[in-house]
Amino acid sequence: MSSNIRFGKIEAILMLITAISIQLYLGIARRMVEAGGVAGWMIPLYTCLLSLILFFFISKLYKNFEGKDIIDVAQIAGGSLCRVLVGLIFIVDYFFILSIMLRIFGEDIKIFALNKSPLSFVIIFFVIAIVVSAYLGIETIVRLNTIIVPIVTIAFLIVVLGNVDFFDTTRVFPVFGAGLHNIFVKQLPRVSIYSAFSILLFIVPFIGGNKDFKSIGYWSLIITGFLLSFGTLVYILAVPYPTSTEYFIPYLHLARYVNHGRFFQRIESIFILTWTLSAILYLSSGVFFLIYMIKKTFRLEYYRPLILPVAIILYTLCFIPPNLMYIVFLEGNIIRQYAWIVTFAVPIIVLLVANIVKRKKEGEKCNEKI
Amino acid sequence: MKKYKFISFIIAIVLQGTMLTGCYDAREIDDMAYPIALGFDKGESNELRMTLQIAVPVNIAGGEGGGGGDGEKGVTVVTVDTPSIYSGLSMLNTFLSKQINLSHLKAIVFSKEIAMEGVSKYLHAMIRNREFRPNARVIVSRCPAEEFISAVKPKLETNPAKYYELLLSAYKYTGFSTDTQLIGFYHKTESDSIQAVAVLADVSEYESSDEFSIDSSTYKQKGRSYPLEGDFKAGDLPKTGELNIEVMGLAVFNGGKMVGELDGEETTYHLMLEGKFKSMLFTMPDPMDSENFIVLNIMKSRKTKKKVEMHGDKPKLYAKVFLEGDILSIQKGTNYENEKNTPMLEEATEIFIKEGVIKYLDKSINVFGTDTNGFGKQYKSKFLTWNDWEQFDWLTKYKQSNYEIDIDVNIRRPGLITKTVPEVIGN
Repeated sequence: MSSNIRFGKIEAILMLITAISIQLYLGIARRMVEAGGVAGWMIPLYTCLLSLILFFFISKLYKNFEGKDIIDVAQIAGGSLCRVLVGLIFIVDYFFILSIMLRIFGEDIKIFALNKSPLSFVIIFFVIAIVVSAYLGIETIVRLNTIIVPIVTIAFLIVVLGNVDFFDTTRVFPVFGAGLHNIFVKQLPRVSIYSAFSILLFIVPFIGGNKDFKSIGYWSLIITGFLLSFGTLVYILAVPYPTSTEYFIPYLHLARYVNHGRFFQRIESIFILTWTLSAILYLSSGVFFLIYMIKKTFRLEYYRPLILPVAIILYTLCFIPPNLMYIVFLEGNIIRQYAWIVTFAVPIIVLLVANIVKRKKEGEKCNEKI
Repeated sequence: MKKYKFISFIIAIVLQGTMLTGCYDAREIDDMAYPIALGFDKGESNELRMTLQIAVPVNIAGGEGGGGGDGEKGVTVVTVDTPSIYSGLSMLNTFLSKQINLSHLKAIVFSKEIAMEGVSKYLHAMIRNREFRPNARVIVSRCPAEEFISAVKPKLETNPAKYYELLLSAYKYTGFSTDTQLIGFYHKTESDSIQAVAVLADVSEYESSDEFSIDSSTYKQKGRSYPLEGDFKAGDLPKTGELNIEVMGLAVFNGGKMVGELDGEETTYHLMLEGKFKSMLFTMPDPMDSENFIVLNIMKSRKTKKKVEMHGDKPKLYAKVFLEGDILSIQKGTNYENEKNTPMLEEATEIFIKEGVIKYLDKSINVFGTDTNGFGKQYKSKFLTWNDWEQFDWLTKYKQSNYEIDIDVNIRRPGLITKTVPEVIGN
């Protein structure tokens, strides 16, 4: 994990897009409909706007810390104690989210493909992929992202276009669905759907300067905001409300609907392949940065010895929740409600403190000179 | 290092070769039994009587000797009384040599008795299971589903799955049934702006042509002195032959409960109003001589325009249907192809269809009270929130609706002849 590793803006944007919009292949479309009714498509756009505002503050505060990730900034803000504290917050957050996502991916595969296989057997394949990617390093993960994202995009478009026959524009009415209060006030914490955006705070040393940091942040938020909103809208157009609140994996259902003639059908097999690829990319990036955080927080020299222990801990943690319903509850009602605290609130606080400390130190230096 | 990498690579390949080739989920296609149709009746010894028509792939392919298969022998039928769908499958699996897999199911047949009691509990069980395809078609059988499924013996098709696909897509050129994919049907049973319909089917009533009768035709209720081709429901058609089943008309649902039936002609008007009409061969009395017929090939020319307005507390439904037609037959020989007579034929067709649509809408509003045409979907846009829409209670208001129907027919082509020369009869 050398600091010599550099990747471009597009690669970084694609990695963030995969990390955030993977939710489209999980239950975000259903969850948005549950929250906002037929106006559920507005929530990703609205929360995207909020995320952009929050990122505006983060990028302004980051101005003085070019090339430093959030753990370095925490060190400046409050020394080792602050570094370890902030590092631990992110480590716990990532362990929690990744173990839940690992379980969800495993359970989903079990539901729609390998329903006779034991869950532990299904999940082990994800773990093997995670371990291999982490060994190969961030450069490989990022490059692989660049190759796989277009494939996943094509598969997504096939599902969308294949469902055009099922679209009914009257399904977006009544236009405000669950009501303005439910959408714009109650769903404020839904800014957490962009929780994977926190990866950006750790890729700072791998990208160019502040200019790149800003454009990667803005572009990835805008693109994922559009994607999540568009994906939810497609689901709303294809499946009438309130039936749309029933489906566990909305896009699997949409893939199953595709049926053009007697030849072009059952394309969910393509969906499952691309779905698995995206899941592996998401988990690989997540686990790599989790290991990176541990290394940085505890100032370790090597990261590779951490890969296997982290993978085993994740594998163990993911079996703690007793059933899929509980996992879905954790993902929908905990992660997608409170993850904003770690993604946006903690960095803003750390950056504010670090800026104050830095100014204070600079002031002291000036005074000394005078 | 190179050696180490090579060994890792070999181990990875071997692991993939052994672990990814199935293990727990390995199921050979040949080890599965694939039902093509699934029927539900009220059970005698248990809650549900479940009938499965299972494909026999060896006979479909033509057996060891090669050559063509036999549609009739391509399937086998089994029936079981069971408390639920899945317990029935378990029971069947005890004596079938292959495990039942529903992923090639094409038709789900509910008996009329079951449909009138409500099918929602079965639908939920189906949607929950990944093996049920969303594009399987829902059929309501006027006779027991077991009888209907046993009577399906394809003659023109060796592949029974293809037989169902083609049979249930025939609405595109007959106008006498509709597309009732499982998923669309399910969505409509849970919708409060459009309600569900299912294809109506039955076994033929007659053994030979000597027994033909038109007593069960709906022509008298429509004030006609003779039946047209759409004045029948499945099972009532005066027909005989080796193909013993009939598909004509629709079963109308309120939620998951069947509340009535539509005959072939009413089904056509339903398709026109819902916007699913494609084309059909349409027979009507000659406007100049009602003893003779005119046959047109009519097709949709534009999307049906629908609008709903509230007049006080009552909805007023507006619909404009756009059709175009080609002349297929003028029995009387009247020269409808010329500039003067074509508009007359167009107007007569418009009036004839409009009368039929009005009768159908009357039945839909006053007899069934179910909005199967989706007028409710048009009115939803007038509301800002879902709560307001729910409180409006469209399905109750629909029962007090008035309507205004407009039909636009353009006769486009006269076929291969441009005018009709009267026959010459010698002395």
